[in-house]
Amino acid sequence: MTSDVLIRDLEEERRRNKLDTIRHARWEAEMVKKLGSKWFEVRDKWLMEAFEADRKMWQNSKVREALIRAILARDREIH
Amino acid sequence: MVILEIMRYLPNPLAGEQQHEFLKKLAKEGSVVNIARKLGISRASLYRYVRMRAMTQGFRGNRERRENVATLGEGLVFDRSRGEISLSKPQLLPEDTVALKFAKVLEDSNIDYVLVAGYTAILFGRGRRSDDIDFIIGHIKENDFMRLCEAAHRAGFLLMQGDILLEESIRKLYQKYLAQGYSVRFMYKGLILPNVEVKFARTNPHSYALTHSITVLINNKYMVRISPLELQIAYKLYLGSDKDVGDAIFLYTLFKEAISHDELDAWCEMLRVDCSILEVDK
Repeated sequence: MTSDVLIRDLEEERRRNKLDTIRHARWEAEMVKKLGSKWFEVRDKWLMEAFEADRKMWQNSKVREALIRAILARDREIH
Repeated sequence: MVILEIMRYLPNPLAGEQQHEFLKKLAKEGSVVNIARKLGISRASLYRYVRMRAMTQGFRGNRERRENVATLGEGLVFDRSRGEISLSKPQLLPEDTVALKFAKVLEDSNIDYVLVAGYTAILFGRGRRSDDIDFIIGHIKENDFMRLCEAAHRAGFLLMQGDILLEESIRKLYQKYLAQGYSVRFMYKGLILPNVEVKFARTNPHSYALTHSITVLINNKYMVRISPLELQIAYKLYLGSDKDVGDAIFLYTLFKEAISHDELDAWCEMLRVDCSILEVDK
């Protein structure tokens, strides 16, 4: 496989990913319009599950410290 | 919370337009002092509200005529003439709690602010989480930042880059970060993610967002100010990552019946982004 072919394939993959993101975001907005609070209930349920999993991780003080260091290091990089 | 308190005080029920006129009239007659005293809020807060309304009103008066109130879904109403969105949601996410608590600290401290970036999409139902709740604030002096930190600490916030209880640490943060254009991070009750990222308005879009912010009333109980949606959508397209484009598409799809498409086109042109992607693959 030449690098030209590889790049073309990767770009095609990236284009498809973007289209998927667009379709999904549009679908989410339609759900908010259509279902209202029902949509929020469903969404909140799985977002809260993800949040709780994160929170369990932070209870380890080493993870906590490392996470704070990573956030501040990223800030310094951006600056 | 000023808006809610004013609404409670006003002769009821006044429609949006009447309410705005009533406040303007009061401001002209100089009775704002009395109202502020009765409400137990500062005169500056009340004036700021009236001024904000007058500015938004003036700006919107030049726009194309359209329906002022759009019901976009169950529990989501956008009143353009008042620059106000009313949103009902069954529960608050950690992102909401952190954003609302910090917004209240800023409101109570009389600091101009606006919420920008990913949280605005999450607030309205986008199905993702965010690491940062981004606040742009008007420029404040070092001593005002000290007072802001005191108020934030009372509300349960800690600083991520320093010690919120040490004056020296806070002053250093102001000089090394805020005054240099960098952001300062606050954590709410031990939550690392999401945390609050605060920085001064430094660019034209920041200043525009501050002066043309939209008020979001959540469950008629909480209030936050967010960036104008047209600017928010164009800016997200400008950032360009899949996540940002997704946020732009989400906000556009949700609010397209209510936003000004001329204003959106103008921002897209200014930021040199192609807004045709908003309607792509339909």
